Amino acid sequence: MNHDPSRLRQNQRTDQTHAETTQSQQAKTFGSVEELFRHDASQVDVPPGVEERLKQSLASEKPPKGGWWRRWFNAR
Amino acid sequence: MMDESNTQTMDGQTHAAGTKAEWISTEFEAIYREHSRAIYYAALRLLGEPALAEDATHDVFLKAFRKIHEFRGQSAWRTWLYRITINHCLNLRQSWHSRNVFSNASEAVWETAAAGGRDPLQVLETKELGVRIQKALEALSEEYRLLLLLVADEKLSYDEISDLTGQSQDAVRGKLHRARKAFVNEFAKTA
Repeated sequence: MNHDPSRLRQNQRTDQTHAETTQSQQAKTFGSVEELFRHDASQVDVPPGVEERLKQSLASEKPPKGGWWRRWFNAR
Repeated sequence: MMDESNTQTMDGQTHAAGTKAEWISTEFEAIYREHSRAIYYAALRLLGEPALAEDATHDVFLKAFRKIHEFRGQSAWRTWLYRITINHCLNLRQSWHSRNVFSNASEAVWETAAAGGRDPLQVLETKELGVRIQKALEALSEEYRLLLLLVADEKLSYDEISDLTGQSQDAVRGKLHRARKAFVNEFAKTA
């Protein structure tokens, strides 16, 4: 049987990538459901478009009624 | 009583008259920066679709701004924001529109992760993990799903989770135990 050396090398590279990927995925073990969720949450970023949209929306909003900011000091 | 024409920021700096709006904007921005990630993640996992989670995060903070005068300071900002998020997302889920959009969740999560410009292996991992978590969560009741998401936030106490879900702490602990087991079972099915 005749093997094409370039195809063989390509297959080897593919196998290697697959092995690295699998190894990387298997390396992640979680001690609890909460830990799993925290890891998942750490991988999720808020899309920057949300802040931009919010700024635009807030620009056309009336200022909030007075007094709320005093409570801010106690709650933040 | 503090003179509203001269407001004071958290770091003690006094702003001159006419800058109150700016100060409010700055402080609200600080609230957004501190809590938006948690709110977006909760919305993403409750709704299962990044585009809906984006809209929900925007709407939650806009609602919070509009209702900020109603904030009593008896709970933390995080808890208050979660309350708005939960109500908003549950209303969305119940709507006809949401029921029809959820089907594309897996692809949408992948597209969002890929757009983040992360290392390809990390994206692949995020895709698989995120999709599996989402599938497992979708198989659970809304109550279990919510409990698991809230308890994973280390900034929330059992007391606050109890308050948010309207249940006693004992009930929360009991249901959480069952929710964890149910999730582990469903998560195993996604492998």
